[in-house]
Parts: sequence; structure tokens; C-alpha cells
Amino acid sequence: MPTIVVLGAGVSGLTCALQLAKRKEHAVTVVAKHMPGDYDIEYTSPWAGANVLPMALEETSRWERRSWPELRRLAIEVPESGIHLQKARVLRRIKDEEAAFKGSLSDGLFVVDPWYKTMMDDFRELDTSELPAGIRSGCEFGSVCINTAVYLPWLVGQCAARGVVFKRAALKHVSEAAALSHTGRRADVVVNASGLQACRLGGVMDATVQPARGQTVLVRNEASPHMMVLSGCDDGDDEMAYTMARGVGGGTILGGTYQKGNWDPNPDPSIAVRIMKRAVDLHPALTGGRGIEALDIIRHGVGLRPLRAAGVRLESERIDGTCVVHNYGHAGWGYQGSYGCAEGVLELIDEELAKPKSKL
Amino acid sequence: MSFLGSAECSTAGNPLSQFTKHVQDDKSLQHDRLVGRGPNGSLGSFRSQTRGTPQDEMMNGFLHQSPGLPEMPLEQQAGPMGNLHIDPNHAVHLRAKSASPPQWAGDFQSTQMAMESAFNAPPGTQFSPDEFAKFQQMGAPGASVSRSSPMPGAAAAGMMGGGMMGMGGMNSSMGGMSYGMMQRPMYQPMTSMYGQQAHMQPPQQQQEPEGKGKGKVVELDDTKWEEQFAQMELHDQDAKPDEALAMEPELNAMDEQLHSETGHGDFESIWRGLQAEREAMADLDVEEDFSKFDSSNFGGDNLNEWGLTNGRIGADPIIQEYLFEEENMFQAANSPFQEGVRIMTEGGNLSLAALAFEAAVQKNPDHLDAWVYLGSAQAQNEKEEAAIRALEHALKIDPNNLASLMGLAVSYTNEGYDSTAYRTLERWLSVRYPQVIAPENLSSAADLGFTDRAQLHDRVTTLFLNAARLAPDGDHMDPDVQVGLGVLFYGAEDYDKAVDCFQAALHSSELGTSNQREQVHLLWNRLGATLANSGRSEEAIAAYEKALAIHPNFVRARYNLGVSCINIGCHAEAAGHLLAALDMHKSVEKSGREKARELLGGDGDATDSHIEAMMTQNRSTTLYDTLRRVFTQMGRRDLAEKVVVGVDPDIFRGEFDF
Repeated sequence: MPTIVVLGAGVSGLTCALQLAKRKEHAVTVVAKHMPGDYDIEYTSPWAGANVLPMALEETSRWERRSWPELRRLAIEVPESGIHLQKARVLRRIKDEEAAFKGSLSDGLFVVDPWYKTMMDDFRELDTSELPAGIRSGCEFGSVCINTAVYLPWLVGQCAARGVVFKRAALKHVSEAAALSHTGRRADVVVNASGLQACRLGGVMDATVQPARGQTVLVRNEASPHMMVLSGCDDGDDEMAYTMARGVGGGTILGGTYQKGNWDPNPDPSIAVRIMKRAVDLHPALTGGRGIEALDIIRHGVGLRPLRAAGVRLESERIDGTCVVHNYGHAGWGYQGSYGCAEGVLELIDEELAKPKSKL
Repeated sequence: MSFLGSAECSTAGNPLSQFTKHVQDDKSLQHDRLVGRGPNGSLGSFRSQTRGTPQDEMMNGFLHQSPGLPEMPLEQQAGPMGNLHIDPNHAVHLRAKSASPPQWAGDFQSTQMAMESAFNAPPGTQFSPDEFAKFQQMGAPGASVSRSSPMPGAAAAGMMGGGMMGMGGMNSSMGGMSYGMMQRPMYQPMTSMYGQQAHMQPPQQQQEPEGKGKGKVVELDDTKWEEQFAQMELHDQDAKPDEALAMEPELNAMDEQLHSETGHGDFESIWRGLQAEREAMADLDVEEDFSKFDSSNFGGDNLNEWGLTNGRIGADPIIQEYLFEEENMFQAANSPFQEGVRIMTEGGNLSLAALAFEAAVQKNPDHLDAWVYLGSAQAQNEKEEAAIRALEHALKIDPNNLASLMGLAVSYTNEGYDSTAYRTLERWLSVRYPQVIAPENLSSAADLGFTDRAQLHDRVTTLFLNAARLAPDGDHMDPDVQVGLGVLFYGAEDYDKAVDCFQAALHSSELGTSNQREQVHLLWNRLGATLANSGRSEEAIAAYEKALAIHPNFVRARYNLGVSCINIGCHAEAAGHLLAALDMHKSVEKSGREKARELLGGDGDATDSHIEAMMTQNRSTTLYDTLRRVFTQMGRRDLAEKVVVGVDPDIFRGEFDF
């Protein structure tokens, strides 16, 4: 009976655990320092928006492609997951045209005529009459917004219903996870979904992983019907303008920033004000024409996206006698790539398990 | 900057009113954590003892670290509390869950300052324009987010549990009114080993709605509360009309409670009620109850045939009772044990031998040797589970039976129960070489964490090396000690050393006692498996063939041969070997059938189908699974689909030689 330990309970780890547990023969244990319900700077997932705005270029689009159908299905069929449908508007500023609309957050989101136009629902380019000032062009498509505060615990529940066991532990070395299966057996495979911590975890120590700091403001005001994102903003290369409305009462997320190498867990008040101003400019309806003083703030947040220089690491490696399948470094697309990456992880695990063992 | 202009006391207009949560709670909560009180820092009684501790200097140091410093590798941290780091973002979560200070918070800022002075709140916990100016000067403070790793394992749960229990006692000095205004303490063991989300969710959800609107943490001194509340009321009247209206109903409710005739009396009963609730919640956190929420109790589908451990790391597997074949011709025999021994020594069919031993123990459940032989036969027959059950049963009769202990150590190693294997080897040594380790000094299963597994391994290895030194070489070398060492090195993936040990064991066995000589085929197989796992497939194959030359019916060696063929890419050959192994299970050999007829005195009963039906229990799923994989790897889905547990290998005879 294949024994698997998943290290990390962020969206990546939980999705892998869930997909693994759907196979009844797998004995799955999730081991993590932080679990849904926690808010901690080391634990990125709760801080995310989150939504689906495809960011990859076509050649690396597999993960997002394979995730979208499931996220969409959850939005439509499983309201208790905390995901709901929401239209998105991606706006390309005149000022960013020279740089071919390559935003700081992504390579592929703002590309004209993007690969995802056939994947997302009802994709259309916006009519000039629909464009705000300063915008060269833009597109609209049906997407989803994920209320992370509801979705992460929902994933835990789905895992628990399929027999996954959860254990809190803070490990210093990835191979320690092999001994932590709830079955008492040595794990056949350890899934390393440690996110940003991959840069400090013994046995991994990936120096190419750094935070991309994202600051947000969560407000009670509503900015429906669209979630919006701009290709850039005047306040700086590492600042962004986007909004999204979390479902099931989750509030509206106003963002943001993309500050590479910045570990600061405290919300910066000046950034917060700029974020709020940009949001109100983007959506005057947010405050009914009034200024940012009319924003009803729930809280300010800071999340550190786990950014890996060469992109996500999805491969297996033998570390100290344990087969480790890495699944970390998703930067800002963790949720929208979660199911696709889990599928990749399962393929690698199947390969490993297919190797028969000799018996003493 | 426009920010400064708007940061006046008008709270509705202060978009940064929520910043207090982040800036102010940094230190206070961290102090609370360090003092080990538990996660809820908002109880005033904790704050009073925060100043001037040595941890302050460290924290101040960290507050001024520049952002952008990469985090220290986890391995280098000195351990729990060794490097004290700020965790300001604990604050965010906890505060967020505690009712966010509503819009009238600003009004209460000044009020709160007055009240908090009574509770020795740390300065700088109130957000104000001056504070912000300071914040700006500090740059972005508190950037370091590396945190002390919480104590691993049970110790942390204990600490948190202690913190939580302590809260019950400490709260007794607080006014009940304050409890009414606060939300209930948060029972959130951060590092509980049984951190079940399902368990934790309900208490949190209860707290949020209650806290809203009342959640301003106002610590009221027993005697002075009326005075303090009056102060609050005054400030309340200064609030902007719309905000005042918003909170009016809540305040009115509080008013009534406070100013009723029997104000104090009501207050007492509220307090008692809350205390009772708190105790009820505290009871929930008693560790035994966690097991209710341990999800290993869910999901019947995921239970394997072994059953589950009790969920503790390094705990031993729960072994179930041996499953006997229903149809067993040896039950009619006079001396099934002797029959079984004869089959084994003659190298006959192992399934047949196992049947004989099953009959023997069914006749006499205390027949120790029969259980030991049964276990050994099943292990060689590639039926690990049955072997373990039989050997464990033997240990119930005689806990010091050496053959059982060694056999179990091997089987547990094969199944991945490393810690159990090492403890079993230790026990073997204490029986065989009590001078090296006395039975009283054995490791216990009780206190094993994940780091301890490596320590256990090293300890047992050292002991075995000590035993080996007692007879370094020559005629007196104990091959079993070498086997034990070999198993230990194999478990640690130290394959080169393991190879040396098994070779030494082989050498002295071949020249040793007859009993030892009978084990030689087992040693060839063990050597082969070690070579195979270190990537030396051709040498492994040679070793297996040596084993099979001695005992052609050695199913395990034949299975291993198949595995090594897969590893070098000879899939068709591998399939042949696996089918041959299955054939040994499935059909009693010609001589076996003859024997069966003999035993049953040639009476009509021993029809072929009758005999076939005798081997339905204890099927080796390993063989079937591996065969299925080989067919898939060969691209033969059609064949793979035919491989179900119990299938007759004969159906493949056309395609493969075996």
C-alpha cells in the first residue's frame, strides 16, 4: 500500500493530498507547520486573493490549463468550496505598450490575443467605448474568484473525508517527513510542497526561491461585477492595481504589490493608501464616488508569493534515501495551477511506485 | 502626504484605523508567546508582566533588522527559543479573528489609553499620527520574520496545553463584564500533534459573531469598572453621530447590565456562566479527546489489511490474527508438523509446507516450532503478511524466540516499519548476547520521535558491532550477528556495508552447523536483494540463481529475480519468472498432488479442484501487482487487465515460458 507524506498544507500541498487520497490504495499524511485557519507570514496561501488570471506563456501553460476545468466546476457545482464565478477584465495601459504589456506579475496575462482566449469563458476584446482613460485595449472573460478563507478549510475537509491524516510538525530537513506517516511505515514518497520555505528547508535549500511580497487591503465595499487588473501603474514597477470580490461574504480584495526579495510582514501604510486609491480610481462604484475614506476596511494583509527564478519545480529527486517529489515555486499562480501541478505530481509518484522492491 | 492629513481622530475617515492591529500587537503578543501563556494575547493580565525581560533586547534588535535579509536555514536555528524572532503576523490572524475594532475604535483610542495605563500596556500600542511618523522613521521595522521553531513533538503540545490550562486560573481575577465584552479565548494549539482542522473550526466560528461589535478588548478592574465604563460613556458621546448610532444598541445592552439594580449580582452570574463555559471548552482540549478528531479514525476505505497504528510516529503496526486456509488436507494427517518439516528440507512446494504447519498449529496452538516454521515458510513463499502474523504469534508463546525475532526484523524491514525492525533486532540481541545488552535496557516504543529513529538505528548498530567483536572471524563468527548487521545497514541504505555482512554470513554459514547450512539459500537471497537495491542488478541475478539452485521452489527468490529483470529491462523474462512464482502458489505440483492423494489415502475426495480450493487465503498481492505492472510496461494492457488476484497463471502459458 503506497505510503505518501505531503509536506506543506498550502493550496499546493492540500490539492496534492486530495488528488492522492482519491485513490483508495494510497495512505496519505499531510505534515505541516501551518494549517488552514492560521495567518502567518510563512504561510502564503491564506493571504492570496485568489482568482484565475492565466499568467503563463503558452509553452508553459500546462499547469493552468489542467487546473481551470476543475476550479470552474467547483464554482458551479460546489458552492461550499468558496469559489464563485466572476467576470474578469484585463486592461492594457497605453503606457505599457512599449514593453509589450509585460507586467511584473506575469509574462502572459496581458499579451494581446493570448492563448487562454479559447480556455476561459466568453472571452472577448473590449469595445473602445468600454475602455477607461489611459487604456489602449483590454479583454473580458469569465473566470472565478476563490475565497481562500473558505477554500483552504474546504480542502482539508475533503481530504479528511477520504482518510487523509493531518499532523502538525516543523521540520528541519525534508527527509524527516519520511518517518511521519500515520501508518508507522516509512513513506514511499514525500511530496515537498513547502512553498517559500523551500529556501530554508534542509535537503532542499533552494537559493533561487525568494518572496514576491504582495500587500492587499480587504474591504467590505463591493466592486462588482468585474474583477479588474491593470497591466501596470504609475506608482512603481513593483506596484499593481487589481481587485476581486471573494465569494460567500469574503469581502473585496484590493491589490497590490509585487516586491521581489522583500520579506517585510507588516503592511506599509503608504502602500496601503496607494492601493486603495488605485482601486477607487479603477472602480468608482466601490465608494459611490467618494474617496478612500469611504472604504470599510476589514484588514490589511501581506503575503509572500514563493517566487522561483526558473519557475515552478516539479520533479522527483532522491534525498537521503527518500523519493521526494518537489512541487514548489508557484509565485502568484498557486491556486490557478494547483490541480494541474497535482496531476504532474501524481504522474511522478506513479512512476516511482511502479518500481518494484526487492525483498530481503 | 495626504495620509497625514486624514489621520485625525475621526475614525470613519481614517482608512488606516485597522493598522493598530498590526503595529501594536507585534510586541505584546510576542511577549505573551515567549512567556508561554498561549496564543491569546488580548487578556490584559498578561500584558502586565512584559517589560524589562531579557527577551526585550533581542526583540528590539530584531525590530531594527532591515528587510530583505534572507531567512536563516531552518537547520541552523538553535532550536526552540534559541533564536528569538518576532512573529508579528501572529497578531494579524488573531486580531482578525477577534472582532475587528469597529469604526468607533478611534474614539476609544484615547479611552483605551486611559484604561490601559491601568494594565501596564506597552507603550506604542496605539496607532496615532505620531506613531506613524515614528514608524516611517524606523524604515520598515520588524522585517525579520524568521521565527523560532516551536518545540517539536509532544513537548510543544504540552507547552500549549499548559498555556491554555493556565488561562483558566489566571482569568479568575478579571471582571465578568470584561468577559462579556471580549470574545472567548482562542483554543488554538499552534503545534498540536493532533491539529485537526475539523476540531478547531467550531470554536473559532462561534467566537467571531459574538466578538463583533463587542470585541474591543477592554480590561476592567473589578472595583473600578464602573468608573472606567463611565469614562467610556463620556467619550462615546463625543463620537460622530452616525457612529454613535451604530453602537448605540450594543452600548444600551451593556448599560442595562451594568446599571441594573442588581448590577453586581447580574455580573456575578454572568461571570459564573462564562466560567462554566470556559471550563467546558478547556475540557475539550484534554489530550484524550484529540483522538476523537484524529482523522486516522475516519475513512474505512484507507485501512489496509494490517490495521492502523495508533497514529504515533514510530509506533508499531497492529498485527491481526493469522488467517487459516479453510480447506486443508493436512488436517487429516497424523503428524502434520513432521510432514511440513520434510517438505521444507526436501525443497518441496512452500504452499504445501505452509498448509502442513497450519494444520499443526490448529491441532496444537501452543506448538511453538510449528508457528516458527509456518512464518518462515510463508516469508519464503512471498507472503509477508502471513509470515508476520505467524511469527508474532510465536512470540506470544515465547517472546524470546530467536528465529522469530530475526525473521520479523527482516519482514518489518521489507514492509518499511523501520523503527519496529530495529527494536526487534535489539531484542534479538538481548536474548542472544545479554552481555552486550541486558533485556532491562531495551528501548521502548513509547518515546519515539522522528529524530529518534536515526538514534535508535545508530544505537542498535553499535550494539551489533559490539557483539560482532566478540567473535571477529574464523570458526566462531556468528552468522546471525552478521545478518542482523546486514539488515541494519540495509535499512539505512548503506548497501556496501550490508553486502559485506551478508557475504560474511554466507561464508561462515556454508562452513557452519547443519542448521546454518539450511539457511544458505536465504542468505543468497538477502545478498541478492541488497545488491539489487544498490543498483547492481546483474550481480543480484547471480545471487538469486544461486539461491534457486539450492531451492527451486524458493518463491521469494524467484520474485526478486523477476524484479531485477525488470530493472535491467528484460520484461518478458521478468514476466516468466513472476508467472512461475505464481504457478507455485496456484497449483500444487505433481508431486504435491500425489502427496495429497497419498495423505488422503487415495479416497475420492482429493479431486484437483478440491486441492485448488485449498489455497485461497493469504494471496500474495505483491506478485500479482508486479506482474500487472510488467505487462503495462510492456505495453500489453490486454494482459494487464487479466491479472486479478487469484488468476490462474496457466492462461498466460501460451505467451511465456515458465
